[in-house]
Amino acid sequence: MNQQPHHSHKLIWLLALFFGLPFFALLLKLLTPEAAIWLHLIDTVLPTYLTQSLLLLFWVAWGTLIIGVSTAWLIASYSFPGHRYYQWLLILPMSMPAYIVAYAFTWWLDVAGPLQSALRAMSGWSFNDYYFPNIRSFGGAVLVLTLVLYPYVYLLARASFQQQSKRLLEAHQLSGGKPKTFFYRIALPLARPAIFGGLALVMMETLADYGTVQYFGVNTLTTGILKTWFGLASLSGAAQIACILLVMVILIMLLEKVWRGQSKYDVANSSIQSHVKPALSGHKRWLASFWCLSIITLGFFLPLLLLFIMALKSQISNWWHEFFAVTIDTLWVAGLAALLTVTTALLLMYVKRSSQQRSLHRLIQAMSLGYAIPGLVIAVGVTIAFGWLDQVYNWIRTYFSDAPAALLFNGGFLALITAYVMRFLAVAIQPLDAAYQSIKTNLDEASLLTGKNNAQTFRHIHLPLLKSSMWTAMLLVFVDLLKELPATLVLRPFNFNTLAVKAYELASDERLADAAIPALSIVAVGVIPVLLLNQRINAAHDNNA
Amino acid sequence: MTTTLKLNSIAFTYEHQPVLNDISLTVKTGQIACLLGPSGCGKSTLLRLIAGFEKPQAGEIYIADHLVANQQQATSPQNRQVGMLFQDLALFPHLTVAENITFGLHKLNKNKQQQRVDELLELCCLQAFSSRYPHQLSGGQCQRVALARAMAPRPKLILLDEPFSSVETGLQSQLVHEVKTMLQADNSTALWVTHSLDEAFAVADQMGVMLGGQLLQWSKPNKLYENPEHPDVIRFLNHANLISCQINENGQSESSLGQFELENHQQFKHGDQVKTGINKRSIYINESEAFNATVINSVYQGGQYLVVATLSNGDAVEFFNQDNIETGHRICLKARVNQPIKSFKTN
Repeated sequence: MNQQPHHSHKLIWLLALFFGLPFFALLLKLLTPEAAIWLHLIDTVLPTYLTQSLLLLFWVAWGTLIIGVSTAWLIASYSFPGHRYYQWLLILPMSMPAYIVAYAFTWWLDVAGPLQSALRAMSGWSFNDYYFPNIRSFGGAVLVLTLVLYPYVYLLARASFQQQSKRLLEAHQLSGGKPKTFFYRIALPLARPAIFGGLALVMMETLADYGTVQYFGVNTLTTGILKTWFGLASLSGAAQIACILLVMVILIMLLEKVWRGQSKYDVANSSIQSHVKPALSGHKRWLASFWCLSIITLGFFLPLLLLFIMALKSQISNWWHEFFAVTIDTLWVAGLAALLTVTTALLLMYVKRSSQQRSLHRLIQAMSLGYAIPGLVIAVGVTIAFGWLDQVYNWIRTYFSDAPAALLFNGGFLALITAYVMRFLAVAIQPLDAAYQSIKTNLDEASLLTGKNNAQTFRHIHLPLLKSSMWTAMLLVFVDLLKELPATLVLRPFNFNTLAVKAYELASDERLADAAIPALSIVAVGVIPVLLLNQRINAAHDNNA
Repeated sequence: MTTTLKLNSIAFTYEHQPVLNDISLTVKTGQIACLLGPSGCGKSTLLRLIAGFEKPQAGEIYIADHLVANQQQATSPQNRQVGMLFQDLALFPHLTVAENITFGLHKLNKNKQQQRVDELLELCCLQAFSSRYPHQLSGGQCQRVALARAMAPRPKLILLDEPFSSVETGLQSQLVHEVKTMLQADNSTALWVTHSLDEAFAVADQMGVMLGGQLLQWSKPNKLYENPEHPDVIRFLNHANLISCQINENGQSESSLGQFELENHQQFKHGDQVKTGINKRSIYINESEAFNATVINSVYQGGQYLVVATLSNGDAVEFFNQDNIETGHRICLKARVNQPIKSFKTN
């Protein structure tokens, strides 16, 4: 387009510089390691952090792969009792933050918890008379993470299976293939890119998790960052571990690209899902139903039920005022950050649309990678970068006045909200990008030709057409902010709590029943976007069919 | 008559590929001019240059005698006073019919806006639909709304980018007529781009054929038809045969079909090999002379047959005949041409 909104372009470069600073800080720390700390880490804890992280990745990946693909295949290909409900119920565990499921399961399965107590009461055994698996363990972390993360694989695999044409199955049968081998020979290879896409998301979430592994005492890289930072009081050491984490995330992104390879199959065609799904026969139908039901129960209904029971047993009357205050704090910070995130995303998408500069497009693409990067890594980067900015600020301040040194960037809401925007920008970009792409550029041209300028076109054409997507983006970011734990934990100002941090603190103080109250609040809000997502997938599916 | 649009040697390249090459044309005020050409010939790009969405690498664009673009500078689209009817209409989906039409009238006061909108609603027979949204209208109604929106601010020039390419054939001729009537009723000047011959001949006061980024001819429609200035114009219009001939001592073009007076005989000398454009309707079967052609195909076209034959020199000739002729039949073809015609040098 002829008329380029140059000011917004400059703003993008400025924003990119600001958002790039934390990563630059991390990179600098990696290139200038403090040898003593580094060697100490390598000698002592780093191998453990690394192996535990890798093992966790491995097992969670397998777990989510098996659960995600099996449920997706059953739902996409067969009809069996309850399959209509399971189709969307299977997404629900996504709304459960892993650490909250961890608290609920711990409360339930602990020595003093209801299950073991009932067992002892029934059998007459006492503690140590019997073996009972300990949930607060590596295996427990694998279980919990698998149960809440498999929906990523399920959703993408299901979509892929459902898009595969019935003709493929018919062609397979006509060429002499048995129906049973269709899954391995055709359906699974075709769905591979989608499955790996889901798996990559699972792995990134696993690497980013702090709440669960910390609570279960698993020494991964994320727990390592916090231990080094606050335990050893070494921000440099923390930064170096953060760099390792960052490299792993980048590796996963590359790996996903390699796995996906050239195979960006487009199997969608007009005959999508026009066929009736065959019914499973005999005991198979009940097995399928039972499998899906067990997954949903373990990943969603059981933790939810446990949280309710815990909440009933909590001493909420003692800290009702505090809970109320924390809720208000959470809402306004999450609201403000969501607003800023969506505004930034809107600006990026506007520039992406109005500019043909490749460099700008790449820059915008890079800025939306934040979602892949663990919150703790962003937090470490922001802290270091803002430390520099504070130094500059104080240098200027003391040069012009006698005022004592003070922090402007670190330790306040600026750092927290910056980290939030960086991390969740991609969440807001996705719906806005899709919405922008559905507005044809000749609407802009038609508007310009009637004499309106770019700003007026944005206000009168873009904004009204983007409105619903902006609300969706706000909601998605808002809910993700509510759940966010590690970055908030490190960057929040003194005396400031969010619901997630409150739940974490109460759980750390062994006040699990009390932790259920903020946890339930998070889950209650978290279910909304999952249902919304499901609705949108169904709508898209109906349009295709 | 004043000139509304003047293009002077416009050139445009996109990613190092030349898209437009040395395009010059003028459109007089009140005229409907038509640019005809196959898809990909650069005609839509030319419209985008005139509208101001792209900038020419060479040449000048004048709208109502004001320079709006050259190599150095370009007036932004919103300041060119140009309206456009887009191929896919580009109606604003969140605005009603009346709001769509009002959209460009922000410089008028409320009363004047209402007056102009009412005027256009009446002109387009859309009074009953003013508060409907685009998705509640039929294809033809949407077309009229889009035209009304383009016309509303009384632009100096209206550009129409293949407005009927997505309309079913039966509706096309009716819509073409409607749009032409509306444009004329509002005394608009228009540049209309299409690949349909019927559409172009139905509306054009002035007409041109574009091929491969070049404007081959820019003239009145009848002149374009009767006196094509480029062999590719003949190929595109597909109304005549290009026959291999030789220039004889009288400066005529001569082949086994006969001898023809040339309008441009001064361009050739005796013995030159040329291609001469001979209208399909000028060719007939002469039964008294020696065979010079073999029929290779004959297709019934309602009331007559379109016959294809090859001359002894290998040229294929198409002509119309009352009766079917069997394939392989030997015939003698002649051409009857009443006025001087054009020949083109063979490459």
